[in-house]
This record gives sequence, structure tokens and C-alpha cells, in this order.
Amino acid sequence: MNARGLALACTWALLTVLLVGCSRRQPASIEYVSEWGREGNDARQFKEPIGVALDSDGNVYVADAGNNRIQKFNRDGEFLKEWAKKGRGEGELDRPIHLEISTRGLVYVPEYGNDRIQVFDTNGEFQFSWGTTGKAPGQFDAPGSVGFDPTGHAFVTDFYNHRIQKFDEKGNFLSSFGTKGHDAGQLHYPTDILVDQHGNSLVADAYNHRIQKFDKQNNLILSWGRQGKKQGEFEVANALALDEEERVYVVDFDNHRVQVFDEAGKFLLSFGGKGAGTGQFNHPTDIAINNEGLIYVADWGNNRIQVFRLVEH
Amino acid sequence: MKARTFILMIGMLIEPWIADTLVAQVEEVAIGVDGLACPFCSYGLEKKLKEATGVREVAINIDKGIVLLKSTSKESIDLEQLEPIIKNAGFTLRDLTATVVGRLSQIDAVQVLLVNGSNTNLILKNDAALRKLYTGQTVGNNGVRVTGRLTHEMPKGHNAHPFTLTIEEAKIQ
Repeated sequence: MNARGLALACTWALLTVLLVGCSRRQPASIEYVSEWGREGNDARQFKEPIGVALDSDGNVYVADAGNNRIQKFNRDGEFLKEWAKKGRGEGELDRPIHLEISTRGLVYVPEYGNDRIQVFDTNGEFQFSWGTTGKAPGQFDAPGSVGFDPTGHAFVTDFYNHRIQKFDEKGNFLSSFGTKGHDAGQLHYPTDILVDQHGNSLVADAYNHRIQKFDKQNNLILSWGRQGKKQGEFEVANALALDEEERVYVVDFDNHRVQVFDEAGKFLLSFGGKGAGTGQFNHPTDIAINNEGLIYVADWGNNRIQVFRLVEH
Repeated sequence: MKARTFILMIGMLIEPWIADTLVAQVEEVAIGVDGLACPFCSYGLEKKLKEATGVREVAINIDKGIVLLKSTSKESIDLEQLEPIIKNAGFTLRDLTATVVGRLSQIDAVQVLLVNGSNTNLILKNDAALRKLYTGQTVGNNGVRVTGRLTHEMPKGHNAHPFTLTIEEAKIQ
């Protein structure tokens, strides 16, 4: 092969790598799969389903905020069980929000009304809880979500305290970061957090209408979004999920849509739109993605869970 | 003007009769709030309002943008706490409507409803409703239950009163 041939071959190889790389990074569309739920307080009915989480078997847990209970379904939406009722006692709930399943398979439920995190096993048996009302370390003022790093530490968004608190998996306080404000690294009513496989935390900085990414030392390493309706803009960025390709799914509450970004915050696509029809949303509030790529969205205002699939092209 | 004078006269006659015998209470408050559609905020507001003095129950109607407060049986809802709570929770108060059981009185020739256990006296507005309260009915010792819209209107010389209650519905107890 002469020099020209070698150059051509190299160019072709490079293009192929880029194309394959790009095709993996640029999902073409989202496909509607199914849904369940309507307004009510029976099984498979909801009153303001605000949080959704998945366990390692693909079961779906829904924080049914208006009914102050947790409902558990299989991956197809078949009802399995429910637990809790309104109250302040052990195993009772007051406004459960963005629940999450820990690396050990326990269900962590943040409660706005009781300023605590309650932990259940996957059958709904109470395990332990922590938190009281306040601003001191370990206290909360409307805890909205829990995220786990790969080692099992729990990160809690503390809505009215505009901060993230870090605990061990038993709820012992470790550290916190964040102050109220609009500058880079500050928070204004955070509502969701997740930690990626590298230990970086992504925060839904809801009323700054942006996503902020922090490293393990809580240094800001990336931020994107501002208030608006265009691609990459948000009207209350209130929940997050990552898929296996590290694409970031952001629930855009008042735009009634979910926007998908690559790990650098570059816009890829969006889906949804205001309405009660198939694939539409009325104020979506949470999202979870299983290892098969099924995307579960809490369609809060429509009292249902909708399921989608990302279709690669 | 005539009606007001008439009401004042009647009021002065019956005020000593009913004074000091009735329990006044802010029983219910309906708060119109903008921005309730966000559950993270409205649930937060619900929590904050539960901490206000006298509040037993908070019900939020997200569609209508209304928060309904009900009092405990023993304690009156402290109206003066509500506005700062709403503001600090990041909301804008649209309007306030309250149902108050109270005792009619006069302070410097202005009709007021005295709220026991609180420094809050509500200035009453709506001459027709007041006339109805004072005439043609037997005013007993149980006072009146008044529902109306609360505003910050203050007649001259009555800066001490935080609210005026424009009567929409009034009944003798």
C-alpha cells in the first residue's frame, strides 16, 4: 500500500470509528411502550405520583404522594403491593417524594412533611429512619430525593436548605455542600440528585433551571441549562436519570417534557409535550431507567406512569 | 352615612351585653396562591403552614391554586403568620378569605371583630351585612360567625389592626 492508499485507509477507519461512536451517542427517537394508572386510591391508581424508582429485578416503586403510600409493581405495571398511610409514626408517610433503591436493595423514601428519610425493605417492612426538621447537619427542611454513589453513600437534596447532604447508608451524617444562590455551584431549591459510576454527582438545580455536576470533592465541573422553552432550556429541571451510555435524562416539569443530553450536557433529543394523550405529560416529576432501556416517567398531573424505550439508529 | 351611624348606635347598645362572653376563633382560612402547580413547592408550603399557630389541617387544591386551612378546636389560626410563611416559601399571595367566630365590638367608632387569644382584631366592612347582624334578630351570647375577604385596608387612625374583613356571609351563633 502506497502512502496515498494508507492515508485513505486511515481516513476510512477514522470515519468508521467516528460514525459508530456518533451513532451510539445520538439516539434517534423515543418509542412509547405502555402506561398504567388513573386518579384514585385503589391499587394501580394514584393521586399525584411524584417519584419512581426501580430495583435490580426491574420492579417499579412509585411514591404516591397524594395518597401518602408506596406502590410496588412488576416491570409491566402489574400491581404487587402497597404500604404506608398518612402519619408521622414508624412506617407512616407524609408526602413521600423521590424515592430510591440503595445499592443493598433497600427502599429509601424522603418525606417532605416529616423531614426525614425512611428506609424499607422491598416488601415494605420498616427498617430505620433518620432526620428531624432544621438546618443543622443531618436535619432537613423538605428532603426531596436520595441518590447513591457506588460505595453506598446516600446523598439527599435538602430543598429549603438549598444543599446536598451526604450520609452513610445508615443515615450517619458525613458532609454537605451547596448554598442558596444563582452563581455557579450554588443551589436554588434542588429536587434530585444522582451519582454516576465515577462518583460525580449530578444535581437537578430546579429553580436555577439547570443541571450542575460536581466531582467527588464537590467541585463544580459542569453546568448546563437556563430558564426557557428552547432545546437545552428548562422550566424547573426537577429530576434526573442516566442510561447505560451515560446519557442524562432531565425531567422538564413546566415544559411537560423530558430532554436527553450526552454526558457533556449537549442536547440530543426530547420527548413529551403537554397533554393527557399517549406519550404526553402533565407536569412530569420523576424518571427511572432499567437495564433493558425501559424508561419510566412519573406523569404527576395525569396520575399515571408512562413507559418508553429509547430506539438507537 | 346614615346606615353607618345606625349600625354604630345599635352596636354601642348591644356591645356590653355580649362582651367578654364569647370565644372568637379563626376557624378556616382559604388562601389564594399563585404558583401552586409545582408539587415540590406546594408540598413544602403545606408543611410550613402546618407549623403556623392554630393550624390543624392543610388541604391544597392545586388546580384552583387554593390552600385551605382548618383550625384546632382550642386555638385560633394566627392570620398574621400566614403572609410571611407564604412569602418565605417563595409564593405570591393572591387573596385571603377567612371564617371567624367572634365578638362584635367597636374601637374608636369602627366596627371590629375581636379575636380571643390573639391581638388580632378584624375591622369589619359591609354595612348591609352589619345592619342585618344588628337588627331583626336576637343577638345571643354566642357571637357571630363571619366569612369574608381579608385585606390590609385600614381606616384612618386604625393602623393597629392588620386586617379588614369584608363580610360575604354572616350568621349569629
